[in-house]
This record gives sequence, structure tokens and C-alpha cells, in this order.
Amino acid sequence: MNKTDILEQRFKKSFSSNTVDRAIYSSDLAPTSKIVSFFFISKPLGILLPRTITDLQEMITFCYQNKISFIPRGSGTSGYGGATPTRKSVIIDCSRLVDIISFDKENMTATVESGVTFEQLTRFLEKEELTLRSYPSSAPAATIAGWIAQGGMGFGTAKYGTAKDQVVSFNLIRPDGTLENYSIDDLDLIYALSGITGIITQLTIKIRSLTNENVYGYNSPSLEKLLEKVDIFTNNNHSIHTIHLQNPDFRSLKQLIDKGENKTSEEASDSIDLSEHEYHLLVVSEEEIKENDLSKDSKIKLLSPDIIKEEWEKRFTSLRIKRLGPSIMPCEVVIPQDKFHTFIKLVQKKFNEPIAWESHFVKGSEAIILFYFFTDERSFSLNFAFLNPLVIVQLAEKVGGRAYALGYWFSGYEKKLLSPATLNKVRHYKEKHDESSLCNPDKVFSRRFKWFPIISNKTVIKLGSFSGQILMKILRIKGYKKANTSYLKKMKK
Amino acid sequence: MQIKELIDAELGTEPFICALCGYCRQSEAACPEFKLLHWEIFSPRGKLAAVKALEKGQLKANETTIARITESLYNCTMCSACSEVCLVDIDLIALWKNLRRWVTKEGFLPDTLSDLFDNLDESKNIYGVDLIDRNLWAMNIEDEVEERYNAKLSNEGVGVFFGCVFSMGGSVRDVPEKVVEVFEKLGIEYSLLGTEEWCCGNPFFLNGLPEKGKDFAEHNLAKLKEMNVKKMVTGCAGCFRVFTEEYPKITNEPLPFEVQTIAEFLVEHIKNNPPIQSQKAFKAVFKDPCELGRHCNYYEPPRELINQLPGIELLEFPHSREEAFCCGAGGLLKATNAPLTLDMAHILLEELQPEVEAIVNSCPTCQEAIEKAVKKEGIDVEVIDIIDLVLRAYQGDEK
Ligand SMILES: Cc1cc2nc3c(=O)[nH]c(=O)nc-3n(C[C@H](O)[C@H](O)[C@H](O)COP(=O)(O)OP(=O)(O)OC[C@H]3O[C@@H](n4cnc5c(N)ncnc54)[C@H](O)[C@@H]3O)c2cc1C
Ligand code: SF4
Ligand code: SF4
Repeated sequence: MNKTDILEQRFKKSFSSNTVDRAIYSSDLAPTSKIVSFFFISKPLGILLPRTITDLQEMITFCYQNKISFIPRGSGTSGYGGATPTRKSVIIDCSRLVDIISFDKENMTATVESGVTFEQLTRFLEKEELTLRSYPSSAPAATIAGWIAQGGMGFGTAKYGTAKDQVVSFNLIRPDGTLENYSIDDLDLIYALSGITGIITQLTIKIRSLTNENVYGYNSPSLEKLLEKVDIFTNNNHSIHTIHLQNPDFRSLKQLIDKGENKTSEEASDSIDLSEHEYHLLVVSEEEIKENDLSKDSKIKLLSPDIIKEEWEKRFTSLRIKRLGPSIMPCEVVIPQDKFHTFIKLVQKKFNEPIAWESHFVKGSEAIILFYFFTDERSFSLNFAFLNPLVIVQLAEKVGGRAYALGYWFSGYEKKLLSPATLNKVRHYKEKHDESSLCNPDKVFSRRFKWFPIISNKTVIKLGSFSGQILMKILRIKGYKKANTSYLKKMKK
Repeated sequence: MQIKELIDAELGTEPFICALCGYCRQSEAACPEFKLLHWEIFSPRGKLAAVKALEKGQLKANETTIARITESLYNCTMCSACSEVCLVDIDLIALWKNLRRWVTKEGFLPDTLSDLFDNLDESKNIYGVDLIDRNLWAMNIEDEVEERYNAKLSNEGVGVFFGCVFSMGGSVRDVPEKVVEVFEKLGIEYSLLGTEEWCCGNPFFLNGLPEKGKDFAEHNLAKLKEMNVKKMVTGCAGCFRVFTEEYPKITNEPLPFEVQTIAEFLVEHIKNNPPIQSQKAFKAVFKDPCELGRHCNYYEPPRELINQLPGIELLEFPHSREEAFCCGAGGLLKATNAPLTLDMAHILLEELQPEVEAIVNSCPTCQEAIEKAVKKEGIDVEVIDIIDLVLRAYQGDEK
């Protein structure tokens, strides 16, 4: 019997090897080009869908005993290839583990199963006058475990830190099927590790009291001026939990889409006039910001509270600009806050074209910047769009930054993200509990090719990037296209 | 029809615009099909991913593939929760209809629907009963309504369109009689189509076969025109949607008359002639029918009507209006997977606050589905059509 058959026989209705299911679990947020996917097997053997933690433990134990590679998956909203296969493996979809187990008002914690989404937990907590501290802009669907495994950032991180700073303790089913409860001291066994150490089943995370959100918005033609403001806020004001910056190109696209929403609006324009738009900073504070801290600079405009409040309410809709794609190649990097401006100048110089980006500032003087490159996954040009994230990461590295997450695409960059002590601990753990590397293989640590083991995945991707860029120069090809605004014309009709 | 042709002609770039955000599958008020079946293919995002895989050649349009896609399309209630939350505003209902059309042309239409479509072709109603039996609901009031059938109206009168479920459905068949009673009490001039009333054609429209719904549209519109209808009213959410959304697309022109729900129509009349005192006070919730609410963006009139009736305290489901949960019977699901309908109704009933004494409906399909689920689960709550509620308010005066 082959692996699919034994899984079918053992797990019956909790397993599917249907061709459609296998195809649709083979990708994530980032579109993959045919050339790139030539190098690995992206279709899973099948999908396991546990309903309980007991189911999950049985599945992992079974995979371990039968030497079947398995991949944890939450809601599949990440874009780094962490939740998709690269070799014959089964995907374990944990999005059905959705129990909110308890909350503790005294210690300000909540304990949840790993498939609970941020929105689900927020709605629950708000009834108790409680809320989350940090969360991603994919909150309506992203699972809490997926965010931790991804090493996520987002709203609230200016005060409350990244995904790492939210966890108090967790339960993990190790690759060999043993379930263990871990304290915060072992957080480095799951944080940003793309699920290579096992499957998180339960998490206790920090929460906070529901407070007023005082939302402020600033516009300025000068990025430098707004960055000065950010420095003041991050250094002096400890009630600010969110600092979110968007560039004029991003604003233009977002506004274009929002105008399109109002289909009768005469304002819906066919082209984007970048000159109209400025850098935009959104700041959210638990306490009112004092009048004289708000704005003293003639180059910075303070926006009306109504407009900005609405924007805050719609904060999970950034990716609406994808409508102008049809496809987007996202790229996120983390850079030191003081190198922000230098880095943006490097990007501008390199691409010499408008590129939409937005950014969140993070406690500890870092910022995550997310770039959106438009492409069309049906066309050959996707192969070139694929190079842009690599270029952006290279530029980030020049100013001491790094890729935001590892997954598959940035496997091999683990030393930039994790300390030597953590890496040692993880390697030791893998040797002990996953000697055949069955749990999410090829992620985090770069894959070595069987037929030529001195070459790693990282090297292949780097070589591809290098030659791709040369080819682009020779053929004068751009790795991205301008936003397609023709849909607005259709709407106007 | 090849899937590529379908994508080029009908779906366009839309499936590729999907941001894969998963809001349609996981946010609280999102897809009930996914909530219950939970494989990705049963989510809106999953359906789009399958289309994309077909277009990109990662999937072949063979029997296994089409069968799985068919399964996912006919476990969908067309509730439009997905379109409502879609991050990039994809008209997902239009896509589902087109995909249903495609699998139907490929020979994958579920048997129960094939039977239902035969009924429509042969008998012009969903139950396959003779047209003459369409008036059975009026058995006890035949003399009263006789002269209303196909009667020419003055400009103030209204044409009533009951639809198949009210006219012939099991537990809701008493509602048309109540409509007549309310209209008589309020002195409203009305006409009925009687045996000339054909199904509105909704099953065809929901299956992406508007060309098959065309005859139904033309017939019903012609008959209503013959009655000099300036305003048509209906108590069925599906008929309301079909008249206001589908018929103008079929005829390529605006309808020659105004269409209102009976609830909205009664608001003004009740203002002028309110019930004096009522029955014992009670707490009720209004269930937004998907085809009225999310499909037609129509939320307030039924609430306005209920608020005018004395003695009723109107509460809301925790998820209501745009976020309302589906009763599970829409989108032809009742015909394709009745147990799933019951499970979806169960999700809705789980939300019911203990103090609620009545669930008020403005759709016969919701009424039937919820009634059935309430009975099965032994919940102590009344399930009542909004017209019934109005009639009771007036009967309270008589007591
Ligand atoms: C609209 C949109 C906005 C976004 N905004 C942000 C943002 O603001 N900040 C941000 O950081 N990211 C953002 N993302 C990316 C993504 O949503 C987050 O990283 C998210 O937290 C991933 O969660 P998920 O449940 O989808 O995980 P998946 O994508 O399913 O998985 C992510 C990784 O976690 C692993 N994993 C999943 N579940 C488990 C488990 N139970 N145990 C162990 N490992 C597991 C997977 O193997 C994979 O490597 C955004 C994405 C979208 C679509
Ligand atoms: S219409 Fe309703 S049931 Fe169908 S896919 Fe959309 S949300 Fe799910
Ligand atoms: S909500 Fe819309 S964009 Fe998001 S996954 Fe669903 S269909 Fe795609």
C-alpha cells in the first residue's frame, strides 16, 4: 500500500486525497511561477483535518511511525511557503481547533486552541471588556498559532511587541507525537519557526483591558518629517500602541479602490495622480495625545478625527488594492527604525518607479515594511515578479535589516532572524524528536538537493535571482506592472 | 462548454483577484457551508482556488474534478455572506451561478434538481402539481377571492404574487389566506394571479440558467400587465429578488411596475389604521432572509412593520442584517442536501437568546426551514410569518 492508501484507510473521512483538494492546498498568498515550482513537489499527498487535539495527536504519531512528512497549516494566509509542501507530504489543517478554553482577568491572559482566529477571540474578549494587545491585519481569518509560527507583527506592536511578546505558555505536539506543555522559556521552540518543531495545539497569550482608542492621522509630503514624528512618539509616548505609515503610492491605490466602492461617484478616476497624495501616518493611543505633541510642523497636516476613525475601523482591508492586480507579489522586510529613510531611498533608486508600501513600527526600534508588486500570475512575467522580494531583502540587509519571515522562500536566512543559541536549541530538538525531518521539511533551514548536496535551496534561489536580474536588464523587462485600473471604467458604465 | 471558455466569457479576471485572505471562510459571519463541512473546497476561497487551478492547468476538468466542484457548489446556500465580506468585492454569487451553469452543461446537475427543473418545465411550479391546484390554499375562502383572480386594477390597487412555496408549500400554505384577511380588513384593493401565476423561475436563476427563467419572467410580467398592475407585492424574499434583480436583466428594461414586499406595503396602511390593543406582550426577533437582506440590501421595512405592532418587543439576533446567519434552505440546498439545511438552521438557532418567544420571518423558505429545525430540536419558540403577526395584532382588537 502506498502512503495515500494507508492514510485513507486509517483516517477515512478526516483525510482527503481528492485531486481538487490537493490542488487547492498547494499554494498560499504568494503566487508561484511554473519555473520556480519545477524545483519541488507542491501538491500534497492529501490533507488531514483533525477535529480535536486527540485526533491531531493520533495523526502526527501515525505520520511519524509511517515516515510521512507533514505540514502544519492554519488558515493559509501567509505568503512564505511555510504552509505548503515542497516534497511528498500531507498537510494537517488545524483551522478546526477553535475552542476558546479560558480567560483570566487577574493575570490578563486567554487560553485558546491553535486554530482560533484573532477576530473570534476579539469578539469573545470584548464582551468581557477585554481585548488583544497585538494582532495582524489579517485578523478576521489568521490563526493565532499561524501568526506566532510565522513570527508576525502588525497592529499594537509599537507598544506590545510582536507575536513573540504575546505568548505566556503553549502546548506542542512534537514530531514524534508526544504532547508537551511549555513555558515562556521555551518560546524559541515555536516563534518564527514555521512549524518545523511540531504542531502547536494550545496557547496562553497576554490580553489587555479594552480602552478608548484615540486615533490620529497625519499627512505630509515629507517622509523625513513624519519619521521625526515617529521617533518622538516611540521615544516619549508609552500609551501609543500602533504607528502605521503608508507611502503616497499606496494611498493613491487605496483611495482609488475606495472611490470605486462608491460606484456612482464621479470621482472614480482612470488614472492615479500621485501628486495629490502624501505620506500618511496613523497613530493609535490608549490615552489622548496632548495638544502640543500633535503637530508643530507646518509641513505636517493633522487630519480630521472622523476620517481617521473610519480608516481605523477599516484597518483589515489593506489588501483591497489587489483588485488592481490581478496578482500581487508581496514582500516584507524588517529594518532598524533609524535606517528607515536610507532604506526607502535605496529602494527608490533601485526600482525608479512608484511602488506601494506600508509599514508598522515595532517596540524596540524596528519597522516592518510591506511592499506590493503587481503582477499577473497567468503570465510569464510572474517569473520576474518573483525576483522582487529577493531584491528588496538584499537592500534591507545592506542597512542591517532582514526578511520578515523564513518559511520556504527565505529558508537559509535563519541566522538573520534567530540567535545562535536558539538555532542550536532547535537543531538539538530536531535531532531528538524529528531525526528524519518529517515535520515541515525544507522550511527555515535551507534544503540540500539530493542529487547535488552542496547546493542548497538558498543558493539556487540566489543564483536564480542574480541571473534573472541580468536577464531583465538585457531584455529591459520589469518584474512588475502598473496597477490595472480598467475595472473602474467598467464600474462607471 | 470548456472551463477556459467560461472563464474568458463570464468569470474574467475575478477568480485571480481573490486575495486569499480567507475572510469569507473564517470570519464569524462568513460561509455556513465551510463552517459545517470545513474542507477548503467548501469555502468560497477554495472554490475560487479550484477555478484558478483549472485555468492554470494545474487541474484537469475530468470527472473527479467536476464532481468535487459540483459537490461544493450544491452545498452552498447562495446566502451571499461571502460576497458581503469579500475583501476585494468579488461578486461571488455571480461566480457561483456561472459555475453551476458550467457543471450543469457538463452533465453534473444533481438528480433532485433535474427533477425539480422537469417540474418547472412541465407544470410551471416547483412541486410538479397541476396548475389548477395552485389555488388550493384558498379552499376555505373560494367565494371571497373568486372575483380577485386576474381582476383589472385601478391605479391604487396592488397585484399580489404569492410564489410556489406560499401557494403550495406544506406548513406555510395558510399564509396567503392571512394576507387576504389583512387586505380585506384594511380595505386594500388587490388582484391575484391564481392559476395564471407561474413560479418566478428562481431555481433556474440560482442555477445560472437565466435563459430557462425567461419564459417565466415573460409570462408573469404579461399577466400582471394585463391586470393593470402599477404595484406588485410579494411575501416571498426569493420572488422579490427575482422580480427586482433578475427580471430587469432578462427583459433589458426596468419593470413596468413597482415591487414591494407585503411588509413594506403594509407599513403605510397600518400607520393609517393601527391595531388598537394587542395580545399579551412578547419578545420577538426578525430573521433577515438572505435573498432580501444581503442580496437586495433590504433590512429596515420588515422591522418598521413589526415596530408598529403593539405589544411586540423587537430584539435582534447577535448576528443580524448584513451579518445574519442563513436558515440553510436557500440556493436550492433544501433539494440537494436537506440534512445540511437542518445543520445550518441549527447554527442559527444556537444564537437564539433564551428570552425570545417568537422568530418572525419574511420568507416562506426560512419559515419552513426554521420551523422544522425548532421542532427537531424541541426549542420552545414560536416561528411565525410576518403577515401572521400583523393579522394577530388585528385579531387582538376583536377579542
Ligand atoms: C490580508 C492579509 C493581511 C496580513 N497582514 C499581516 C500582518 O499585519 N502581520 C503579519 O505578520 N502577517 C500578515 N499577514 C500574513 C499572515 O496572515 C499572517 O502571518 C498570519 O498570522 C498567518 O496565520 P495563518 O493561520 O494563516 O497561518 P498559515 O499561513 O496557515 O501558516 C503560517 C505558518 O505557520 C505554521 N503553522 C500554522 N499553524 C500552526 C500550528 N498550529 N502549529 C505550528 N505551526 C503552525 C505553518 O506551517 C506556516 O509555516 C497578512 C495576510 C493577509 C492575507
Ligand atoms: S453563498 Fe453562502 S454558502 Fe455559498 S459560498 Fe457564499 S457564504 Fe458560502
Ligand atoms: S474574502 Fe474575497 S478575497 Fe478574501 S479569500 Fe474570500 S473570495 Fe478571496
